[in-house]
Amino acid sequence: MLALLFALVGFINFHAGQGIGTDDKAVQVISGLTGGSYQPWTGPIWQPSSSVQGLLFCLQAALGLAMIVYFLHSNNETKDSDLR
Amino acid sequence: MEGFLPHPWWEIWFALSLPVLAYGAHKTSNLIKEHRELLPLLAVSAAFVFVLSSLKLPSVTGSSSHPTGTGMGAILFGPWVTAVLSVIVLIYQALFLAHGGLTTLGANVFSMGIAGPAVGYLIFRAMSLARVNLYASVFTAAMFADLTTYIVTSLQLALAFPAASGGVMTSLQAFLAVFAITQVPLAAIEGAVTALMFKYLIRTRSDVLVRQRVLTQSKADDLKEMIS
Repeated sequence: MLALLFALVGFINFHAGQGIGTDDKAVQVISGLTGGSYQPWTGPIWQPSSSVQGLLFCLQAALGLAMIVYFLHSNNETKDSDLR
Repeated sequence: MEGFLPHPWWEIWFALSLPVLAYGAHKTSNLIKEHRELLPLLAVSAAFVFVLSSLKLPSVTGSSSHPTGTGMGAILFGPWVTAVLSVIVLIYQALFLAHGGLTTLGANVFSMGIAGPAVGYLIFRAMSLARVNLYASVFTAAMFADLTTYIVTSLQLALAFPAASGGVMTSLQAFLAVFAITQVPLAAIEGAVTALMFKYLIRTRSDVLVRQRVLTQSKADDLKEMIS
């Protein structure tokens, strides 16, 4: 189930990644408002490639999903033992 | 958007967010110490933020954006604790994904971890007092927690980059057109997913919902009966 969800997040992010993100659009607005003169005063300490970034977003989703699945599973086990 | 917020704005948002985070950390620590039974649900609320904020979803404007997932934590634990849950995700994204940013962390914590959850929490409490259906309350609260995050982001950028003619209001309109309109359908999806999560919680952990004063015992019993 986790593998399936992992693949789904990757698929969604890959296809959404084809369009422009709101952050990129906001940068365009800033450029328009400042006449293109504004430059960020610092940059990210590490800039992953878009494929690595996609993979790390998948990892983020997988960590969260693992936690949720564990919670659902342990709740079901508790319910089963209550029924017995 | 590392380095995009100029001086003094990035410092101002840090200054506003840090006291809230400090109090949130204190409340979270007390919650864990005094109510160990709530720990799994706290972890799931953090996980919910982790999962939803990892999704980059396309929207009607042709742009894509991320849900926030903070509505669930805000309803269950309040905005103080949700600020702490949000900062974990924001630091992960800033450090490893170059998404958000460390210099913009204060501003992002304020919009996603403080303003959004606070609005969501207040909406949920107001709708509960007005005896609105629980799922409708959860849906609306989670939707507006998401939407408020991006409205505040627009405001933060508008304050930092006022238009030469028209000032902050003109900039605000431009940033709202980017962030808020894109976010409306995504916020509605987030509201629906959060309401589904609450349906599951009512079925399995209604005791916790009663303990957290999300529901009264009689209301929980009624809803459980309706589900089964």
